[in-house]
Amino acid sequence: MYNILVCDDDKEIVNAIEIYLAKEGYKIFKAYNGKEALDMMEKEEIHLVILDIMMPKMDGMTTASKIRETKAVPIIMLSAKSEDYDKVAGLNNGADDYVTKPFNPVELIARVNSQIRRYTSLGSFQKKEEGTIYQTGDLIINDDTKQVEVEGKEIKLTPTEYNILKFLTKNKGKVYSINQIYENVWEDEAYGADNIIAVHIRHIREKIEINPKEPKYLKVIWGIGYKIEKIEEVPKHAKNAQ
Amino acid sequence: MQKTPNKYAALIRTICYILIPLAIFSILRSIVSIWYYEQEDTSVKEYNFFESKQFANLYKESIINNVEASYRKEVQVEYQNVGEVTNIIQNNEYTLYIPNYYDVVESNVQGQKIYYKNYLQNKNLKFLIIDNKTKEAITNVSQTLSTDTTEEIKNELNNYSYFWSYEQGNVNTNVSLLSLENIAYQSPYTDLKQYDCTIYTGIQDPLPYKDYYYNYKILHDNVFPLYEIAIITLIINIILIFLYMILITTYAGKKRGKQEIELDVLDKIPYEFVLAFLFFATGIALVLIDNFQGMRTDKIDFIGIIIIGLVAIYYVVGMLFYLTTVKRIKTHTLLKNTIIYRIYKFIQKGVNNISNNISLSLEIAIVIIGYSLILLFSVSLIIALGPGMLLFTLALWGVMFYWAFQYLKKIKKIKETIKELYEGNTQVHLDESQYTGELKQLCIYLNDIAGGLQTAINKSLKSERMKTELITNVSHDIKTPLTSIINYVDLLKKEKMPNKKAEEYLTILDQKSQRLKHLTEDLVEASKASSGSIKLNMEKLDVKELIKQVSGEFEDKLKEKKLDLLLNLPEENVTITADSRYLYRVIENLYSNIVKYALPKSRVYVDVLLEQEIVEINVKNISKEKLNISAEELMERFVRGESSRNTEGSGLGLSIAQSLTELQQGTFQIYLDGDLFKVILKFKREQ
Repeated sequence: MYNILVCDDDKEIVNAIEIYLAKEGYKIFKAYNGKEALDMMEKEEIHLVILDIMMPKMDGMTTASKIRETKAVPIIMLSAKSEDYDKVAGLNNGADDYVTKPFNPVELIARVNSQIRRYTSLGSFQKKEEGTIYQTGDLIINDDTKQVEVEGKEIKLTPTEYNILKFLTKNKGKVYSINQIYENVWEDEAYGADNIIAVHIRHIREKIEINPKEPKYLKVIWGIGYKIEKIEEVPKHAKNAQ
Repeated sequence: MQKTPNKYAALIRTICYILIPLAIFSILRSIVSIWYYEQEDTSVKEYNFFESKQFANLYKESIINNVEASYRKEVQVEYQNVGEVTNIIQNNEYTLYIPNYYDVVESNVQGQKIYYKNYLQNKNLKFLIIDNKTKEAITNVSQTLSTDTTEEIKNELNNYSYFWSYEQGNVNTNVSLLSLENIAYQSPYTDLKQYDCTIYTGIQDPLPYKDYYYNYKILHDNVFPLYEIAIITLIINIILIFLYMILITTYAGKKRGKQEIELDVLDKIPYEFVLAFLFFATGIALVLIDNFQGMRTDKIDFIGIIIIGLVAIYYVVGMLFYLTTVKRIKTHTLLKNTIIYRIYKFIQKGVNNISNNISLSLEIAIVIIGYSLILLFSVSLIIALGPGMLLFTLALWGVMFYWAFQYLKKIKKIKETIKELYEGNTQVHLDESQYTGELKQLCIYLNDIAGGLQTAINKSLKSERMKTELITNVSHDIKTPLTSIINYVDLLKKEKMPNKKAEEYLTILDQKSQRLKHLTEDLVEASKASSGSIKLNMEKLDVKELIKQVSGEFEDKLKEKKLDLLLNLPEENVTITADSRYLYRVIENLYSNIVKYALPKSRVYVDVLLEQEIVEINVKNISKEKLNISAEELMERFVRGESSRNTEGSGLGLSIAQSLTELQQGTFQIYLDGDLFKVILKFKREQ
């Protein structure tokens, strides 16, 4: 049983989140402003915090920085502010993830699960599997067993999807155009390859990403190509956990 | 830049002030040396004064002068006719002339009279002149003050270092240039034939007295040996003076630690006064030097000092004049700081004051009358003073035409500015101070219009930005309750509904809450795109790649509607400069539009066409509904085809796409032809 602190000045939103997360088997603690959240953090052992930004008494940004002074628990920011700079500000203030209102409940649950997994287990790094491994962040490809794992969950891919993902992960951080991917994966000259690759990429994204429109691993650079993001380090606070 | 500018300016200037006179002195010496040498016989290589032509000349002149001064023709006055005409007849005979102020010493031998002449000029020349008829003698040999005979004086003179004597047609001398044989040089003998006398002269070496001989000897000794290097020193010193002048010019008025040129009291005096003072000083200096030159030779040292002092004072005056001129030129005050300029400005100000306050018609009237008067004046000048005045008249007409031309140029400038403003440049501004009268009024009004337009544009931009801010803030406030609505609708969906109707209602709630969500998001994006408050990250990207990527994203959605997507892409790469994310948003919006509004089971065409400098993206589809509005109306925010109100879009997609395209320097056009819906995007092609 993991304890989650939900903090939002809108009680109905807190209640709704409680209903969703309780179904997933989490114990929920509620707070309605930053001060209450900090008090709660003192009293209870909390494993994850969901924090609204615009709140009375103490806003989410300040609260996140205060929590970060002593605790390494994952923080998910929840806000109606959807501008790029709001997201960057949130992440800079110690948040691990950022979800905009109105949110999709399924997405929020997936993100909570992902953060909890990362925080509690010491990560997939422990499982030193045999064979050829390609990895970025929590995306792990075992080329011997042809298994793909994202944040601890195994993903089922078609052979073509697997080959594309393997190629991009092997060369993580580099951008490849549709033709380059075709030539490297099919080992054939690319003509008339039109949008087959693009369709595959979208399918892969839908399988490995929590929100395919805001991908974490497989990024689309429009008009240039695709790449697998190079995520090297496990966040600092995950190491200190428990 | 130096740390302390002009640190050594004063030092450099001082050194130059001292060195310039030295250089001038050297130049003068060289010139004198060259001139002096040119006068001498080039065969004379010895630097001995007593063998020079200069000496011989002086010696010859002295002898002739002395003899001439000692003789007079006797004057006999004959009165031919008492009363009116007096005839003065001169006797042809020369006789020895002894003024009564001579010291007369009578010789005791042979009863011969010897007169002593205390000759002031050229004391170094000693002479004895004996008249053959009267045997009277004149001498300046001081021994005659005692009782000596002419024989003794003769002997003494012949024992002098240099001597010259003339006795009964014979010349006896040891100065070769003055010997009788040296016809080329003309011995004084020829000039003395008319006098019946015997002459003995002599000069001692070294010269005992300070006189012309002495001065010339010093000059000779100083200057003559310099001849061989004179030309070189002349050239070097001229170059040096140029150098010093350049240095002084560069550092004129500079002060330690300051960049600007400092003007002192002298520089603030009107330039005419400075010029007048310079002419006055020059005049005085010339007059004084001329006067002193003609003064007595026995005070030659004193005169020399005075002349040097005068030259020094004049040098200081000249330098001050030069410095102030340079400073004035450097600070552009040479012409401005003159009385004439001040008078000109005063008159101009007066004229401006008048012309600023009169109307254009009066101004034209004055100009016409003025020009007529000038015409009359010039014609009468030619008549009165002759055709020489034609040049003056032409100059006058030149000035008149120049004025007229300037006036037309100003009008043209105003016209061009108005045209620029008309074409949309609100930054135009005319310098009002350059115009007068009615034109000035015109300029002021024009500047006001331009300023007003600029303010209006700024205001509208500001209000657009405020609108964006307002929409963003309102959308934040809408999003919070919307989150609850969406979440509880979602939760409700998981509950068991009492009947079919309740389930139907719930579906509507779900759809409408989702639509509200899209609407708020699109609203923010649309207002940001149209107000331009989006930060673009422009980079080179491939349109072909983008079309393929977006087609891949929409593959499933298109298939769902049974739409057949036909891509027509060129072989070569199609590079443009745009913001990757926002260009995707444009194409995505077009594809979303197709998915929403295209007739199911129809074909959709996406063509990328290449021109020389333009990339064209054409998107064509057949509309599901009748398009009963114009392309312009379709572009307006919130406007859609009448019957498509019930679909899930916000109606802002095309408006956002257009704004984003234009932000990225592209063009966005919509064509409607029956049911054909066509969008043409154009971007500048990168090579």
